[in-house]
Amino acid sequence: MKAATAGWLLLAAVWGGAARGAPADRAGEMPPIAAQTSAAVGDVLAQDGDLYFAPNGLYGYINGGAELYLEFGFVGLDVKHYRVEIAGKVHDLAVESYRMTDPAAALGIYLARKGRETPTAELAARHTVNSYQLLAVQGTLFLQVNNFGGDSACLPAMTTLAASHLASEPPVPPLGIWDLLPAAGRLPGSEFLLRGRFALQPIYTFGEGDVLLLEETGALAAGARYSGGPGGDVTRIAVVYGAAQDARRALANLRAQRDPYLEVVRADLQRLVLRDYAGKYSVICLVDWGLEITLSLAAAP
Amino acid sequence: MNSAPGYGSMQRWWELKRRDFLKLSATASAGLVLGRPSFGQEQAAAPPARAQTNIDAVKDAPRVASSLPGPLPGRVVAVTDEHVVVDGTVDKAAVAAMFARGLQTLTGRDAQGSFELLLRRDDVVGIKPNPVGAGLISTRHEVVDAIIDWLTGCGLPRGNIVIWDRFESMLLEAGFTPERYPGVGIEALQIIDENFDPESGDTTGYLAADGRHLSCDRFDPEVVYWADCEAPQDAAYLNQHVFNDQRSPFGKLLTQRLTKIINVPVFKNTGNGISMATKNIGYGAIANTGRLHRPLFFDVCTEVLAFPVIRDKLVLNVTDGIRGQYDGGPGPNAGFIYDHKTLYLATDPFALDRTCHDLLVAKRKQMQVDVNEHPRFTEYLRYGERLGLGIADPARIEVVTV
Repeated sequence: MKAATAGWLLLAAVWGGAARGAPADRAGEMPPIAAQTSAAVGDVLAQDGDLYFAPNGLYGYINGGAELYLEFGFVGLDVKHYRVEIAGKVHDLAVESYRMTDPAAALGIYLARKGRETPTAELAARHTVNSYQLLAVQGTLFLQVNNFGGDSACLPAMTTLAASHLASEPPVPPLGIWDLLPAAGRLPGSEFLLRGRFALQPIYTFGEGDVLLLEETGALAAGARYSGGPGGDVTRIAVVYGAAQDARRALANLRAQRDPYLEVVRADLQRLVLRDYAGKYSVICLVDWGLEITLSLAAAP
Repeated sequence: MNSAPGYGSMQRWWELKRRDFLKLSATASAGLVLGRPSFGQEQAAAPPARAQTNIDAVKDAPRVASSLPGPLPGRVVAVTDEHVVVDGTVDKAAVAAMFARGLQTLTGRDAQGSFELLLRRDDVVGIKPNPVGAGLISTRHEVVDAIIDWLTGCGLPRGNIVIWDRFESMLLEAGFTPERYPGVGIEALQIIDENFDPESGDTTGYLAADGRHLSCDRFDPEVVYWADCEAPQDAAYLNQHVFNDQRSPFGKLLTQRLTKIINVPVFKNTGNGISMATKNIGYGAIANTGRLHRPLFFDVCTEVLAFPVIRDKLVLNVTDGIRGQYDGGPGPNAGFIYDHKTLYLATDPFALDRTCHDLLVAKRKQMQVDVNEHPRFTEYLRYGERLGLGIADPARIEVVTV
């Protein structure tokens, strides 16, 4: 990471009026973020007034989106506000550090939030950035840098702030769960993780509630879109359960509690073939590690 | 009590026993539940019973000339100007020109003719922006300015215009202030004590001495959206929602003062759906909405618009797509903001939302955001069509692009 030298100056870190919720007592709740922005970027004049949100206070900060964080495994949110001067113009930036329970939780949130990735070479951690926002993930930390003004002159400052917050975060090895799915035909950037109904919502509607028993069993699922030829792209999902009986129960539960728009085409104890509202087919197979799911097939297998 | 709680006769509705209400309304409301397709030999799980509401009491109320979907059902105009945003700055004159062109294309009449089609000079007109995400994705002032200039240019007194929202703090934070709009009314349906700390127990910031919310009297006990959904009983909820029983009263501003409404939402998503024309009113016109999200969500956007207080007054919808947000909504999410440079106009909010839903889905796909196109996310629009409030079938919607 290049030094934060682009001629910008952090004038003041925080203004209390930005608070939308009361910080919780942070003692013992949030692992410290060792990298202090002041060390990395220079003239930070103040660091007081930071906000901290424990899990039960997250709704107060991101009303409408907190469920997804809690579902993946959320420890705490640290928010710092910065005032940055670039070429005589003052900009307000905010750094939101979401501490998640484990690397899969942090990556899951990142993948759910990233959209099309547009990274810069200036940051080593996986990230995407535009003039309004930078999202990054490393270890158990999911980071969001906001620039509501949208001035692209702030991009170097946003990148520098992200790098400084991520600096002490140990890198983790890649998550191996995608190895359960074929590599051939996978569309780059289409990967996602699931730990419950909220992450599943934008992917597919199997039914109401925790129909795949992801939350009940603590299962982790990974998926991606695949080039499907003339029939269109398909989505493949690997759901890894802790015990074989959990996978069997989930298959039976899906069959019994499936969405009213899902028609059973074929079913036995090992496999379920469904037809959805769009006339596409889904196959759910019981395998030795859990359930292997293929969605949006043009023809019945 | 011999009938379900109804529009205009809500005084003692809360005395109705719940079991009586369910018995009375079960048959009539069965048709509201998302229809289950008949294909397949193996029966799927029965969908959970939808929460009961008092929609039956209003859906057949006599209609008037201005009732939804208005004079132009199924007609949507999209006006795009590639130069309306330059280097992040919105060109006010360009917005005004877009609005004028859009209105003329929508009605086939000039500004004065459009006014006479939809409004009268003695109307009291409420302009409903969406102030959420102030400055980032809230309704742009340039659009509201264009609407006000049209109204006043056609002879409506400036004092007959009220910019309104449910929450006072959001309205002000988004810049809808008396200073910004001199001579125009700025009114919210309610206040929230922004500094309320549940742990302090100090409720004086939002409760009167009699224990009622300070904004209680701003809502009309005679005009109530009733839903069999329980509300949280904690102080924070009451502070934010004014009521915490099964009543969601409409604001008195709407029931007693405004004679027409112009709806100015923004182009953004909420999950797999959209938060635009029908939601801006559906969740903006009534109190006690927090309890409704999970059990009813989009259906509220339809049923609230079926109440005559909205159905007969909502004459124009202008979706502000100068800047759009394709994911992360309904709250502001800077990572998914883009310059869409388009205004959408319609008298029919259901045709408008259906059109914008499909456009937003296309944008989400383009940006590689996961898209779930399950019919459940547009069912509320078809429900609106069944209630005669608009057109939701894309094949019957005419989209005119200029």
